[in-house]
Amino acid sequence: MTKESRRKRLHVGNAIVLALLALLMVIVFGASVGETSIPPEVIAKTIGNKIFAAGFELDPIDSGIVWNYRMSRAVVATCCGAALAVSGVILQSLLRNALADPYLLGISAGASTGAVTVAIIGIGGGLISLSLGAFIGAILAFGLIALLASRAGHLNAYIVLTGVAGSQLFNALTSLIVTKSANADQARGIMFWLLGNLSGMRWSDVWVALPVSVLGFLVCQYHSRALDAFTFGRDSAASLGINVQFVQIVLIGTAAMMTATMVSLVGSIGFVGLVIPHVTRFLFGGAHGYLIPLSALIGAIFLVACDVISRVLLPGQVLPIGVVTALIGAPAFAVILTRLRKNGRC
Amino acid sequence: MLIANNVTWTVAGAAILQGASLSVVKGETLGLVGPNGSGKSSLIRLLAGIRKCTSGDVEIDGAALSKMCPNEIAEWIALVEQQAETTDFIKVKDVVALGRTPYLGAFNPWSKKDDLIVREALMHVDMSELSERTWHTLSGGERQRAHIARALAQKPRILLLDEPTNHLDIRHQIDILSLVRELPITSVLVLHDLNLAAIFCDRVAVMSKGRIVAIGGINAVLTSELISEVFGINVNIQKNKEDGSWNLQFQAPSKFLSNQRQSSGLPTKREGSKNHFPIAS
Repeated sequence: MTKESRRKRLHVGNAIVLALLALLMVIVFGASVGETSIPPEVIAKTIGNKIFAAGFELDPIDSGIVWNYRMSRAVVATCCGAALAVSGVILQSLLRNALADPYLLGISAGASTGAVTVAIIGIGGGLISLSLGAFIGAILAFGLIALLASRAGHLNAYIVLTGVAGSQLFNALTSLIVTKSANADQARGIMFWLLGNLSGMRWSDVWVALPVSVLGFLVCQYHSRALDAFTFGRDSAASLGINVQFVQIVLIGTAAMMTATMVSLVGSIGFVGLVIPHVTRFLFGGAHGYLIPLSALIGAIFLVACDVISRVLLPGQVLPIGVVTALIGAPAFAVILTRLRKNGRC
Repeated sequence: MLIANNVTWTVAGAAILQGASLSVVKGETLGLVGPNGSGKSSLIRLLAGIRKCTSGDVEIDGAALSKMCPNEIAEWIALVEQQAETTDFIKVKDVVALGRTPYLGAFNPWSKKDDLIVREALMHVDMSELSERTWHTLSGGERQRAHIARALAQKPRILLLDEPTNHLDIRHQIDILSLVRELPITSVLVLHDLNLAAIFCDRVAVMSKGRIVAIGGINAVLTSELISEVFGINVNIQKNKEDGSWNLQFQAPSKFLSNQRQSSGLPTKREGSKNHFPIAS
């Protein structure tokens, strides 16, 4: 390895370690703030008790709030931020489209239709949860869009078009159901869910979000060199020995599964999947071996931080997290773009 | 070395290639020429193994491409496209490093040998000093040289180039083609400029309507009759007996030549005279 590539690896290695520390800090901070303020020491001891059976003496109420409410919520936010950011990287790289985001595939729209079908129409007779309904809706919508795109002949060119058209269809169906059947409370609840909501995330949700995001991350990381080969498009990747169709199916399928799982748990949180990949690319370059883990970490930090802000910005009120991600993320992205342009990076 | 056996390629019912056959000899530079839509780029994609033939097959050293996995093909054949572009913030050396993709994997990480191959490829195209430059700061000619370096880093035995001089000025066209000609490698290139094909290729294959209508040495193939038949224009071929160089002139439509002479103050052409102007020096 040359001196320079060693330096680059060191630089990226430092960034990964710093990002992991920042994530840990923001999780601890998030667990300590809220309606009841809990000192970081209690949080550290709670984690020690739960993970390492350390046996610290703690107030069971404080310990319960930290572990059962705030930590589970923070871990789901971490998984969700990482999964959405990685899905964004995959779709932008494979489709060579800077505007591609995880919701491009109609997953968000399908999930909302699935959710309202269960919550408002009552399909499933109470046996299907809102999350499961959303997941089924997301997968059905993605399946329909992928089928239409593949029948059109050229996945890259048509998946964006069919995704947009499919999203419009499912959004219209959601609006139809809400307008026709929902009462005011149901409509408000659904609106809140559609903008993203991490409230009520428990450890049972963690055991869904964590394996899906870890497995999805590993699959994407394994294909990082194949994603690099798409830099100059599909034909260029094929001439570099990449089995283009196989890689596209595996990675788009993985991105769809990760997104569908996250949307079904927390609703559609915008901005993360679109902008975090761009920010990471601008800061650390486009090599996917680094881009995927760093996007995952930055996405996780961003979402956990936004969740904290959504809880403390208005006293006594929790803002939908999708509102916070856009309100904070858009100006932050503009500042980064301006600075990078000044430095000649873009 | 590389053989296309009666290959056809059909898209949505339209036959793009209709039984094209050719054989590429080891070490030669073969030019593919023909009018727009004659199937040159399609044929080069079939030869590169990135499209599958509808019928017929492409063989490399006796093995059918259809039976080989993409990685194996990439170790034999590299493709330089017309104008492969990216909006990514990527350095020249990282573009060239992409050429090592077929050789890398979970158990074959990047090594010193790969570093060396990338440096050699950059040297081959005289771009060592530009290795730290980012893609969007390069000129068209530099980008094409970087693509050729990327293809060389692939260590292929056959280099396929699809209109590598597209959108380049005449000096850069000659630079790129000189570079390709001097490489110690078998190459097949799609060209539009017949003069350049005559200068830089050992043999040419002329394509028309999805078929190869002639293949062979320049003298035998690039005749005024064949060019007239395939391109639908009249040409005058002049060969310099001293240095053996070629000059193909095509006859301009008389009404344009007449206007040109009037506007430049030159005498207008006489009825029935033959007027030519060179398409390349």
